[in-house]
Amino acid sequence: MIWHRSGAAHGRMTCMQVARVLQACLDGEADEVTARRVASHVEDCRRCGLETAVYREIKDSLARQEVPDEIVLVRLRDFGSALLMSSGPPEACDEAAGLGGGK
Amino acid sequence: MPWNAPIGPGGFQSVGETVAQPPEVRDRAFSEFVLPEVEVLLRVAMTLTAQPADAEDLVQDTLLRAYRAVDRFDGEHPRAWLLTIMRRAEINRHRRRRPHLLDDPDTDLDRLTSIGTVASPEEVVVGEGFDEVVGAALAALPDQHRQVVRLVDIGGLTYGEAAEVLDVPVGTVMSRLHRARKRIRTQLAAAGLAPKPKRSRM
Repeated sequence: MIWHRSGAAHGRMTCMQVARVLQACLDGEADEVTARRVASHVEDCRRCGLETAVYREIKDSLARQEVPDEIVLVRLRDFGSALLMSSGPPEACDEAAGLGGGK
Repeated sequence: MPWNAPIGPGGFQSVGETVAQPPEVRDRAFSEFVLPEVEVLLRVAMTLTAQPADAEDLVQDTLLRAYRAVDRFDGEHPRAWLLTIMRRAEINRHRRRRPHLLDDPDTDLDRLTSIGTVASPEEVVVGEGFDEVVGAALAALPDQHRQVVRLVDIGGLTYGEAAEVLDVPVGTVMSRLHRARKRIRTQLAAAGLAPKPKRSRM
């Protein structure tokens, strides 16, 4: 885990402390204790709650920016599965042959 | 050549190399570790290449390399393993095309992503929707920052995985990512779509 408790190990986190780890929390990269402390601060603090909402919206919006083409995805999955069925790509035939051929 | 000989600079094993496992074992490992990651691989490839067709080629290349190497993979962290293969494949593709760009893969990747993806900041206009402003702000980011954002938010990678792809420390990923989002947020605020940032340094 990336973030560890720092400073006031007990008691309430300050807005400054929350600001430092907020994005890591939203990315699921904060340790459990930190995430819980941030969540409890954000519940009570209107300003930090707003910050959280803004960064969550940004993250969601970024995820919508580029979506992989479903057709390409299907083609690539087929390509991967074909490697299995042929016991390897053409370039790897010699390797397979060396082991007594494919299936 | 011994079965566990180091893979060459291009990541390819030589044809005819002896392998340790029968094809069934290889196929099972490939099905278990590689095939479930195809979508993530495509998303990451999209961030590494300028053209969609190049992204598809890169994933194919990665799948081929992974198939050849999977019998020597220990099963730990398949995604990180695949991303390393992809990074090597991308460097190799690039090297074939542009031999003068050998020395700094980070720069190579940045150069790649800068082609055809840059929109001007002027495109951020008040009145546009949230996603449009975010998209324009993303396009206006410095290459290195945009790439980290694309890897984490579009590609769905963890900080550690993004660091692996970019071959930079995790701390670098974090600082680039957080600053990039902060910049996007500033653009949103300028467009009246988000509250102004607090004074705190994040």
